[in-house]
Amino acid sequence: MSAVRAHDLFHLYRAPQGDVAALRGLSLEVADGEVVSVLGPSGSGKSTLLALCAGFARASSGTLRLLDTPAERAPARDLARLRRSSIGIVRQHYHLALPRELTVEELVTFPLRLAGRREPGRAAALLRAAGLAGHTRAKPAELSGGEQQRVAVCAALAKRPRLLLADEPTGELDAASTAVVVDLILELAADAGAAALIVTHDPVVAAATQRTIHIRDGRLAAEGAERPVLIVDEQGWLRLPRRLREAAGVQERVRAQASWGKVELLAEGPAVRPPSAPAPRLEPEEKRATEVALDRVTKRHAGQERPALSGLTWAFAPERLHVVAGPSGSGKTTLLDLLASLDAPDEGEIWIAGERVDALTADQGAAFRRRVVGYVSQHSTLVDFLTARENVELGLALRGFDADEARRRALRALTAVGLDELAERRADRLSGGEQRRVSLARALAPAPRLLLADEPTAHLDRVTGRIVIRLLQEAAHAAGTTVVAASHDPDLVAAADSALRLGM
Amino acid sequence: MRLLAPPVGFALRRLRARPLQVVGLVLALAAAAGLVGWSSVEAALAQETSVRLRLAERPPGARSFRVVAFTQPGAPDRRAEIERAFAGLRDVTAPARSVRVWHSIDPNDAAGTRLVTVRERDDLVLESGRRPHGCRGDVCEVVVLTGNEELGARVPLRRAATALVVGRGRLRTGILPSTTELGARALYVRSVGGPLAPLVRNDGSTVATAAPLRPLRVHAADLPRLRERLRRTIARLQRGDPLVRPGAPLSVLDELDRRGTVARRRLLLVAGEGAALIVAFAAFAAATRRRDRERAEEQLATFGASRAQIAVARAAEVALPAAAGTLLALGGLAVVSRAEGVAVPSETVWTIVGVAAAATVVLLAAGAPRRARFGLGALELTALTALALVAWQAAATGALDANRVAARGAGPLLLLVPALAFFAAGVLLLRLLPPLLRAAERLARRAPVAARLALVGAARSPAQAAAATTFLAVAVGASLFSLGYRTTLERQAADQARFAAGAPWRVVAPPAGDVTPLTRFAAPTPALRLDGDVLQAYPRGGQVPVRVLALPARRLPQLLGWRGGFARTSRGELASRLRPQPVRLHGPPLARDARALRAWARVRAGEPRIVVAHLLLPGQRFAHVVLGVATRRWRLLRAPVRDLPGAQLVGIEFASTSGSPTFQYDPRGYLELGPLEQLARGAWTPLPPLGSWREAQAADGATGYLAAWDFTHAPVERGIRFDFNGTLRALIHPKLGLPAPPPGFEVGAVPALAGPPAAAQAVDGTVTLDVAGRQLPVRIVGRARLFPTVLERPSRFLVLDYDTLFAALNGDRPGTALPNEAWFFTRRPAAATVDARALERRLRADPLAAGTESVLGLAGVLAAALALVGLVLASRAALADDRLALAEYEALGVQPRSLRRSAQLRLVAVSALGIGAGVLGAWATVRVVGALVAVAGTARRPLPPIVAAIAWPQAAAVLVAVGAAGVGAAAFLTARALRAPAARRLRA
Repeated sequence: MSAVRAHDLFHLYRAPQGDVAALRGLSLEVADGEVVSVLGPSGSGKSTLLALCAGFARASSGTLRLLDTPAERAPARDLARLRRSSIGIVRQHYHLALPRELTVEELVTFPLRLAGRREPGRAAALLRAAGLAGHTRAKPAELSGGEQQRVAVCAALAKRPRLLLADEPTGELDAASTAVVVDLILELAADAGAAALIVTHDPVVAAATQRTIHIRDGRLAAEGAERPVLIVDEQGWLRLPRRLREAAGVQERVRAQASWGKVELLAEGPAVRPPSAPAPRLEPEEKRATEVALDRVTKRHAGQERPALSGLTWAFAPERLHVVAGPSGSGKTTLLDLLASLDAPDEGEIWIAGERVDALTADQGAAFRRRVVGYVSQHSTLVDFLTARENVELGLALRGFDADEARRRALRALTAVGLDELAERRADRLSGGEQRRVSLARALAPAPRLLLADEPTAHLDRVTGRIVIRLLQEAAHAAGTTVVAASHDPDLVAAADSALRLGM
Repeated sequence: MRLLAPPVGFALRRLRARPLQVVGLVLALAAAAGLVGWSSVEAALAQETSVRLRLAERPPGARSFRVVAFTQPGAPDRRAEIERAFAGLRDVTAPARSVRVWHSIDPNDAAGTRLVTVRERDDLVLESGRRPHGCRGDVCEVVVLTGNEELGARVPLRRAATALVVGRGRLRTGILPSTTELGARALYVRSVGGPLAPLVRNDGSTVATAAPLRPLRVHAADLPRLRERLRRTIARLQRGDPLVRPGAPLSVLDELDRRGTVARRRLLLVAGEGAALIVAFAAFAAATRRRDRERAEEQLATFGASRAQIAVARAAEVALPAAAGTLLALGGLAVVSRAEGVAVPSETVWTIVGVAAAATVVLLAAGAPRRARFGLGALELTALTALALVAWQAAATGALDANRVAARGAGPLLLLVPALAFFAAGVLLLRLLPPLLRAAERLARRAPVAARLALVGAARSPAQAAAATTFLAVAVGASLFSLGYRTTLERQAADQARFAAGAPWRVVAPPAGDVTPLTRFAAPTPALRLDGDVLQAYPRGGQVPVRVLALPARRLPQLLGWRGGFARTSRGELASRLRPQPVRLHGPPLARDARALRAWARVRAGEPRIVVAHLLLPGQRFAHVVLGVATRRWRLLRAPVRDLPGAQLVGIEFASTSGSPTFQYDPRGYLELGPLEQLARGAWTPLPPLGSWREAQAADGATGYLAAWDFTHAPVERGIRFDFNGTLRALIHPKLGLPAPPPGFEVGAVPALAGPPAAAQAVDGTVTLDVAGRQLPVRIVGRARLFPTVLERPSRFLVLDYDTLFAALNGDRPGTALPNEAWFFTRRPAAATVDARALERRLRADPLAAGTESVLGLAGVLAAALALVGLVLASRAALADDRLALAEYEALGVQPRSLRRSAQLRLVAVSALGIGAGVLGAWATVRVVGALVAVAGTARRPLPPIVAAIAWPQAAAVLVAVGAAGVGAAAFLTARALRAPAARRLRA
């Protein structure tokens, strides 16, 4: 029996420039209990496929059977009933997907209540399995991103769905959280006997699933059915699924013994962090001479016990691509904010281009950024009714460029990020990846001395991600910009000239 | 139900998570719904009070249900049935009182003596003497009601009995429809038993029974039912029996009901305004929370909620605050109505519930509506449909016809006008603002950073900007409309009083009354008010009745109640046109202590002539002094004149002594008159010679000839000779300054200001006026739609200069027209008949007017308060929307102060747009409503017509308050929004 059986699916949607085909004859079958990851570039139709499978949209033509229900002609009421009883959904933006008013326990039981079912103990069991047993009364805002996404997975699987649909469930998570969430999805789906369709850009996630399909231009482009149990990523790190780790009694560290054709892993005791050594100080001349220098910088956020950054001393060389890596909450974004003078450290000094910037007023900070810094925030927003070019021009106008120069630079920057053909398209009609690239173009257009980019490749497919990475490299090496990017993208980490790992 | 409980619980949790917003929404809805209800309660209360006052101020006779029945021997007696009719109305009337008047007991004399009995002892009001005890033997004690019999007189009653007059008195007023029923002699007797019985045995009687309506028992809401009860009772009593004549003050009740209905429905305008506020606030609240709501629905869908469950969650989230607000409003209304002692009309409750339901629907459906492919969305369709419905209904029912509205009150359709205006404005703004804001942003690309970012911010959230603008427009518009309409009514009351008075004070002589009182006052401005007819031009040949008002032309610019719109010509110009040359009835003054007048005279004509000196006294009175009869021989005619200080000799008449002239009468001959002398301080002194005087002209054009004359063989050497020349008007008078009379007239054309009907009769600018028994040629020198103090048939008038008309009417017929009004412009007379300020106070104290004003005042304040709340909410929502964008701009290097300025600029611009739209909307609405609801605060059609006024001070106060709040909120909220470091705002 199939959980999903799609044949020759077409889906058209109305756009100002005419009807656009998101799916063009896609055929796919997902067996009961099968876990399938869906990969593809931005705009290839992955999210549309999930929307069809969730019953949120209807196929324009073709057939789609969901759990033996003909979705293309079933009444909306039947599809809603199917969704309520047998389909679980995990969204990418966990912070938007979870109602902030409910507690963790309420969130997990809510789908059951909506379905009119009562299963005492189900929520507790799921939360226990997700390692959230101690957070049942917490509200989502009190949890980390990974924890929130785990809550979302528990909620999606609480009703024991026959089909789980997950749209980039790890898109906003660091590597460690990603591994946990992926394991949880696989494990709980297996427990519930649910088929799963997981849209992802992350090859690590894809590799963990039984089967991988690639979508391009709305069609099935390729399919791989290998199921590697263990993954060696591009940096050579080996990832072990949690179930396997637990079965082997592996906790945080293993000892590896290699021989030809095999690697033997031996469990070790709990890892012990080495006592943190006092950070070395930078000499004054060193600070002035270095492009970006941090001297024993400490930053503590209100209401948090642990400082986000504690006594960090670091120097970023000029005209290089630097990556700040680390798990969620390790202080990556905080560091970028401090470098951009958007926030001030509690202690320590920050020197950029020979200028001390840790104690600037808001106006001074703005003037400094206008002169020196290009900034791409994680949730960068564009003005939706302006075109891509006009958005970049607006950024330049705010920096004081005249209209002609702004137009010239904007076109050049858009060409550099590969969007020259979409320069006149309104921002709200660009895909998420394209919008991200416009944000990058906006930051690069004024040719800043220092470019700060927060998760520049998040939500991008791998191809686009690589384009962005190449852009950052070119900015650093060819345009003479010092680039500091906060990211947990292994590709970016690998491509960087240097990496500062926080929270390790 | 099991499936619906979770979404309801979810909605409750969401409401609990934002208590302040929910409380604000509940209070705002409650306030607006309360306004709807309170206006209704206030209207009911005002109508109730008005009914009580208006009934109470009428004499009992004018508010009685009465039956006059004529009994005849042998005819069926219907008195029992009549009693039952009165008993059936006992819940609203005082106990019935009855008077029985027996027909004349004198045989063959229908106007003879009538006996009268009453049911209640106190229906006889004794004026002198005592009450009768009854009959002793054949002597019956009586009280004379009409007749001249003195106390103690004995009046034989045919041969059967004798009436002994023991008192004089009258019947309580209001029972008998007319005292003529009592005839020339009416005697009240205790009863018609004993010796009186045979007198009335074969006679009929008139039985008048009356029961006045009790003001406290008549309720405004029951007027139509009461009217119907009375009508049915009357119909039953008079059916087929001409001897029973029932009557009731149905017209009074109709008038009270009509006025109450008009006032109540006008107050429902406020309700409509409140409803518009509710819906607008709901839409605004929904628009500001649209994103949050959409996110919640996505969350529910993600969790597997069905569409029904999502709808239930949305409905619960919306309906619960709406229900709470409605219940709060209804609760408050119940408390207020109980305190005021007025029942809340059920239609009000249903209106509130309906409006709350509409607000709920708006909240459910709101957000930025998706536009259809051809640019016509649900909102546009709704607006167009509503407009079409209103137009159709207006055409079909005449609901928007000003005359009909004034007569029957505003229909429900009219009540939709303000709400519809605001709705249409909202839809217009919603559709126009986004492209306008984008266009403005394009135009401002070279503008300073703050201005550009302000426009970018506004254009990014056009729906939010439109919602805020619309709500502000509605709230400010509603506030200004209420205050403006209130001011309109207040000013109307003042205008109405001034128009009715014409001057600060006015003393009006009673019809055909003595005008002497007018002379008691110092410095009066005399005025003449006469009824006349303008002869219609060929071919109709009828008459246009007009009110003729003569005022001193110089007073025209000082008139109260004049509006510039009445005439195209200024009052100064009109005054000069009305009195182009000095015209005045005057003559040589007599000495203040003149004691007598004398003159030698003789007549050579067919009959002796009476020489009469006409004197004009101060206060515009006349005295006519007969000097004596002139005969063929010279005689010294002499007459005393006493107590006539300030008199002027304005005419000397040589009247016929032969009585009424016949058609054969042909006066020929002449009369010679020596110098007129006055006796003063013991010496005779001559008055100025009369040789320069003029002869009066008769209607047939005949006139005598006057000439200075030297006499021979006469006691005096010179004087005047008046040749009768066949004239019937043998009178001479000083020159008056009037133009020469055209053929067929006695006087020259007098200038006049005319109303449209009279002016329409003009040929060559002249009409013929029939007034005071003569025809005057009147030259129309100006036209006006209305003129102060002309209240009945207000457009039919002729206004003339007082001196001119006075001279024209009295010059050759002294005393023909006397001033019957005195106007006072500077000093208050001791007893003014009309007092402009008192009149205004009375108009404004009318319960309907006072109720309307208080409701409008409260509505204005409430709407202004809601505008303030809306402004703050709009600012907050706009900043919340822009929070991330502002942080990102800051990250791009824009200085915080520029961002602050841009945010403030945006908020101020949106506020200014909303306030501007509100001002325009209020102005238009006041004009439309003022034009359509052409009734004053008292619910009567006013004179002059109602004119929209702008409440400048109040409007300025509202605008300053809202503007200051807008600037303050923008400054405070912007500073607060940008206070946190940009880094934290970027992550939020």
